[in-house]
This record gives sequence, structure tokens and C-alpha cells, in this order.
Amino acid sequence: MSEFSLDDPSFYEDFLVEAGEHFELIEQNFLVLEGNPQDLDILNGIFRSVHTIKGASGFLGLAKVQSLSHIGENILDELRKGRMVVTPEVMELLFETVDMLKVLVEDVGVNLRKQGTPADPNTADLIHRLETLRSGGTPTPAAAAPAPVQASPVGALVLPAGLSNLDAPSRKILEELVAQDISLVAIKAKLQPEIMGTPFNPLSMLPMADLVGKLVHSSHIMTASTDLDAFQHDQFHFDLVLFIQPSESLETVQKIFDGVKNVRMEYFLVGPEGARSLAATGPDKVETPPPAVQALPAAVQAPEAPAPEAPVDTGAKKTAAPEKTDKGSDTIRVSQLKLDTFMNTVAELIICKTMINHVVERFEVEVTEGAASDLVKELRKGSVYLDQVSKEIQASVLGIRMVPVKTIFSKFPRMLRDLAKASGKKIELQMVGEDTEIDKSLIEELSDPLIHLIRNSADHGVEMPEARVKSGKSETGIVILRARHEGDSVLVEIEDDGKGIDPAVIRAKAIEKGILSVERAEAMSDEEAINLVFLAGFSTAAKVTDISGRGVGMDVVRSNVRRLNGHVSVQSVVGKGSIFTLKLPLTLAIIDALLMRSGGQVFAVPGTAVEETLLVAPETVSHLTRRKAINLRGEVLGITQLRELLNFHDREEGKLLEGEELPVVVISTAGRRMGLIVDSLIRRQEMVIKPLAPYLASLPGISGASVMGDGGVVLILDPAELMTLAVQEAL
Amino acid sequence: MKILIVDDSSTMRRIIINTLSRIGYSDVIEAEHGKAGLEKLGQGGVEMIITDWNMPEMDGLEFVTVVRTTNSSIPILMVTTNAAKEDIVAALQAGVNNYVVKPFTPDTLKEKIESLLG
Repeated sequence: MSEFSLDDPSFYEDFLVEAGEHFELIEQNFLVLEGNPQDLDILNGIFRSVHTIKGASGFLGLAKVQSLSHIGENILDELRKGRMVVTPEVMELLFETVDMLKVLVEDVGVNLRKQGTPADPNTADLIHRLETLRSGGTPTPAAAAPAPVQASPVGALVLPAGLSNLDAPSRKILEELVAQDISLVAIKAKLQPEIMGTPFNPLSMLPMADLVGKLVHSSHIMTASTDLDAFQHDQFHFDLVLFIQPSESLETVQKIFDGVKNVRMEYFLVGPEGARSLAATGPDKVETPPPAVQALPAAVQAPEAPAPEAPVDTGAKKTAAPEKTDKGSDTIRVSQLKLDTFMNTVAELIICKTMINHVVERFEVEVTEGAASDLVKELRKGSVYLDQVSKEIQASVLGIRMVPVKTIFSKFPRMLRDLAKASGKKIELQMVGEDTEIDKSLIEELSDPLIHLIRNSADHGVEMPEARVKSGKSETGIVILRARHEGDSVLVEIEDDGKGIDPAVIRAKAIEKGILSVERAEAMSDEEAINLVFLAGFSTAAKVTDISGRGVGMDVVRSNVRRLNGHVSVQSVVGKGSIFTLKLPLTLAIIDALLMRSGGQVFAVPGTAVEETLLVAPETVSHLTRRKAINLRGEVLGITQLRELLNFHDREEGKLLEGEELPVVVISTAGRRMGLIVDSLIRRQEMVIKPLAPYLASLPGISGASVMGDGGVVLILDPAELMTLAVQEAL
Repeated sequence: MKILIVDDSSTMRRIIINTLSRIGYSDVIEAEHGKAGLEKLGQGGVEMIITDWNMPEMDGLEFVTVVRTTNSSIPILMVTTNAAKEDIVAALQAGVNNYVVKPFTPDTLKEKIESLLG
């Protein structure tokens, strides 16, 4: 491989992407295959993927990937040709092979980026088991015996009768080779008239020699008599002769060449051994092989009829298996980094735009007369235009970054299969809305929470088959993974028809763990109670299992999802099942937000969390123990001063006049609502989220920051955390 | 000389193009499977075909078979792995002129191309 050095790392990058796509495809195909072990299209699809991985890995010098995919490919080839059968053992081993390949390919990425330590797994054992499987599953003619003839140097070459017409220069070449102790297989190819009109070019037999060894010489032998009257136009009047130094057994050579249709093959051994034997028997008259090579008939006629069909049924290669989408000339691959840079630049553009709008607004207030006011109008036109254009740019870059959730959903069938297998449950995964699109950066972050939730459904949701039957359900539990758009959000739901979450159990657990007081637990609605599962240190698993007991709780799911400005909630009916809902913004970087001022600081609340804004007369606020509340259309709504909640010590306190109405922002998240009393509402606008400086990151209730048109900093509120703060404050 | 490369793996196409350019062939067009290959071929000007075998939509063997129904002379080189020797025979029968086994060196590819042109 070293003579073909590919220094360009982008070859490897391409390979990683491509291999990843094939792994997904393979797993989808595997799952179909498990249900339909005979499906040739599926087998062909898997074969093709492994084949592609093997092909590229060879070039890139990835020896381990190559050797493992090679043996995997061999087994798949046996399977698709019907020489082996898809059994559960075969499936397990294939799954294992793909898992190992994934690790190996991941290592390529690790080495490429020089990040982390490669796993560098040992593949020898797996390869050994694959080899055993293969040799056990098939009678093994495969092992190639070396060329049979052992040499001892002898003189003049004597050829069997079939080759006696060989031309003198060819003879000389052969003599020299034999003198060097080289044993050859000679193949005399008699072209049949039927070959005319087929696309087969008889000269293509020359490269065929490479399949079984090295072509050392080729020639032809005239067969027509020189009698012109006997000359027939529909006949070939010469035979092709190939002399091959074989690297395979004669049997293999014959098998390969017998596959050529419309050509009759005769095989001869030519070697020092043979020459000597022939010499002993007499020149030119010997057609039978010398004793030393008795086992291998020296002249084997191919059957008269066209040779047996080549074992590959080419018709079957058409596939209906899930395919990668075409990605030829009309799509390009762009690195994530470039897209991120683009996105950030667009984000900056939006900040600029906001700044300019801000200036224009001030101009409009300040300059109302004279020539300058016309300029301000022009400026306004320009800024409106800029507004439109930047919106379009933003929409396109967001569109580019959108990928279907399928890209992560596709790994779950396999995961659930393994989970079901490990726990002895029967679980069927249904997926709905896999084409729903979501920002690329979000999708990567979404993967872990989803894995956890699905594990949770498999482990705690779906019951054992016997228990299910007892409660009148079908043996097989159903987990539904569903994605859809709702406004500016993406909803991902994980639904199971398992045993559900019992609010009474949760309440008891919360009290036992000291998370809640008895009074509060009783005051809670059932829905509030079951949402306690997202609190840290809360696990209701009766036993820690291999599946869920990995030290990761629902609280991690919640904090991950929150980091994405999303939220997670659960609904459940005891005995019927649960639905976990993840609600995420379409994109991370830009949000629609409501700006407000409190305690001299500007805050923003993500628009998705804002339910409504109100003006509340102070006298309608009632004080329940330590909490303030208002009556909102017949419902009690807890309200609280934002600046107090966040401990912002107010430079402008007391600014509110007695009797003045209080602006209240009603926010809701995870089915809970509360009102925030602020000093004033500013406006709704798009905000570009910037990561928080580390010293700000630990501020409770704040999830990020942004820059406003006038250069001021806006703190972005985390609605869910605000709720938690408010609850703590009230206790 | 314009060469059509038919391969579903973009990595493989890049590798082949890279190799071709090293040995002096830079006029290359690409297709990601047999069907697309036929379209490209229909646009004219192609003087040699290098095709993979295992591809979606239309595999290399079908592709070659279709090409050969209308064009018996264009040199066709099949890129394959040595996994299935019987398959290579089938490919040659279908009208492939020569084949090259992956992974190949630039020299091997050059040799194969020259054998087709010579």
C-alpha cells in the first residue's frame, strides 16, 4: 500500500463519512434480514456496503478494517449465493463484525484528528470465529493448493499432443521457463461459433489468467487445414493457448476457465516433472498425465454444452433494499466547521442589522424635518431591505444545517433489538416522522437524551411478556419514536405501551428521599408528580439493570435538553404507558425572544416559553403564604418579581409607582406556568445566542447571553430553571 | 481522452481520479451508478469506461451489458476486489475488456489502461 500514499487527510474524512453512512445502511438491512433471512436484495445491499468499506480501506492502508471487512464480505457472499444460511448465530456474528468495524473506523477518526486515544481493538479472535463459521458452513474446497508439480531440472520440453502444433518461438519460451523449474498450466481455448454476436471478447481471457496466477505466455494454434475447400466461414480456425504460472490449484484454474461460455477448454500441465515423465513415455504421443500428477487430469474437456452458468445470478443483483440517496453531481459535502463558521457570521450579521435598525429608529425620532429627514427615510428603506435579505440568508443557512432526525433515529432499531434481547422482553419499535428536520448541531446533542429515554422505556416501561399477557396486552411491547414540527419547535416523543408511571409511587419516593415535604407532595397534581422523575437522584427502578443502571439518570436528560433551550416532560397513565416529550427549538443559534427590563438589566425569554403578557393591578395580587398569586381567568397563577428571583440588587428599585399596573410575563414550560413581574416590556425580536462567559454560566436561571443593537448585553432566561427557583423560594 | 468513471463510492471515485491524473489522464467525468453512467455516456465523447461492480440502481454488470448492446468497441475496465473470481469471468463475458483489483497502484492502473488502448 505504501506506493500509493494518500497524504491528503480529506480522503480519510470522506471515508469516515461514507463508512458511517454504510454502517447505518447495514444496520437497517440487518434488521430487515433478521425477519426475512432469505431476502436476496437485502443480502446484496449489505454485501455492497461491506464491499465498499473494504475497497476504500484497502487504498487508505487501513489493514484491520480491510481484513475484517474482507472476511465479513466472504461470509455475506456465501450467504447471498445460498451456500450458507442466515441463522441467529450468523446474525450475531455479523452484528459483532459491524460493531468491530465501527470501532476500527472510529479509530481512524481519532487518529486523524489526534484527539483521544484509539480503542485499537484486537480483531484476531473475531476473524478467527468468522473463519470458523465460514469453513463450518461450507464444504471447504476453498484452500488453494499450490501448484502440484515439484521440480527437478530437466532438458528438452516435450508437449502433449494437444499442444504439438505450438509455434517454435512459443516452444522456446516454454523451454526456458521449464528449465528454470517453473511449472505451468496450459489452457487451450477452442472458440465456438456461438461466441460471435456475444459481447465477450476472447482476448479478455488473457486478463483472466491473473485470477489464478500469472500469464507467462500466450499464443494460438491454427486448426484449419490449409485446404481452402474445407474452410468454413462460421468456424474459428485457431485456438488460443494461454500458459499460466498458477498460484491456485489446477482445480481452481479449471473452475474459473470453465465459467467462460462458448469456449471449450482443454487443460495441460507443463513442467519439469511432466516433461521428464513424458520423455520417458515417448515424445508427441502422450495425452495422459505423468504419474506424479495423476490426481489432476492433464487434459480435461469442458462439457460440450455451454459451461455451467456462472454462479452469480446477475438478475438478482438489482436491489430494492434501502439505498443511500443519490449524492452525485447535484449535492456537495461541506464540513461542519465551515457551516458553523457561516452560521456564526450570519449571526453577527443579524447583530449588525439589529444595531442599524436601532440607529434608524433613533434617527426617526430625532430627525423629523428638513433634508436630513429624507435621508432618514432612505436609510429606513435600506434597513428594511437589509432586514429582508438577512432573513433570507438566515433561512437558507438554517435550511442547509437542517438534517432529518432519521440520521439518529436509524440507530435505535438496533439498540432496541439488543435491549430486548438482553432483557428477554419483546419490543417493537415504530418510528414516525423520521423525515422531520432539525439543526445539525442539535441533532448531535439530541442523541444521548434519546438513547436514555429509549433505554428507559425498554427497561422500566415495557413489561416482561408474561406480565403483559396477564394484564391483557399483547406479548410484544410497542415503543413509538415520533418526531414532528410544531411552530418553531421540534417535538420528539418516545411513547411506550408499558406499565406507566404511578404518581403515588413517585410521591412516596420523593418524600422518602427528602425531595418533597408530605404537604407539598400531596398538593401536587399527578402530572407534576410524575415529572419529578427528572429530578437529580431520582430513580424508581426496582433493580438496577444492565440497561438503565449506568449512573445516568433522567436529570441528565433534562439538563442536556435544557442546555439546548428545550424541555422534556412526561405524561403517563398507570397500566397503559408513558409518553416522554422533548421539545426543542429548530435551531440553537438564533431564537425568537421577548425582551424585558428588570432591576436595570435587560432579559430575554425564549418566545417558545412565553404564553402571554399581562398588566396586573397591584391590588389584585394575593399573597398566599410566601408566594404572590393572581387570578388569571379563574386559575391561580403564581407570580414573582424577576429581579428578586434572580437576586439582582436593584439599582432602580422603587421606581414603580403605587397603583401603577405591573407588567407580567406568563411563561410556561413542561406544563407548568408562572408569571414574572418585570419593570417594563421592551419588544419581541430575534436574538443570537452567545455562549456565556464562565463566570456567568453558573448563574441560576440564566442560560445564555446575547448582544443587542446598542451593544448592550441581554441575559437569556431559562424558563424551567426559573420555575425551580420559584418553587425553592416559596418553600 | 475522456474517461467515464462509474462508482457509487465518492472516495473510490476520488482515488481513481487522483490515480488517473498521476498517470496523465485528467479528462474525467463521473457517475455514481450504472443508470447515471448511461446518461453520461449518452452525452457523447466518452472514450473509455472505468466502472465499479457493486452499485445501487444499476450495478456494473448490468451497466456493461447495456453498454455493449449499442457499443461493442469502447474499452471497459472493471474495478473490483478479488473476492469473487467467478464474477470476474462473468464480467468479462458481459463485455468487460479488463479488470483491476482493488487496491491497485497507479502503475497497475496505467498498465491496464494501456492494455485496453493497445
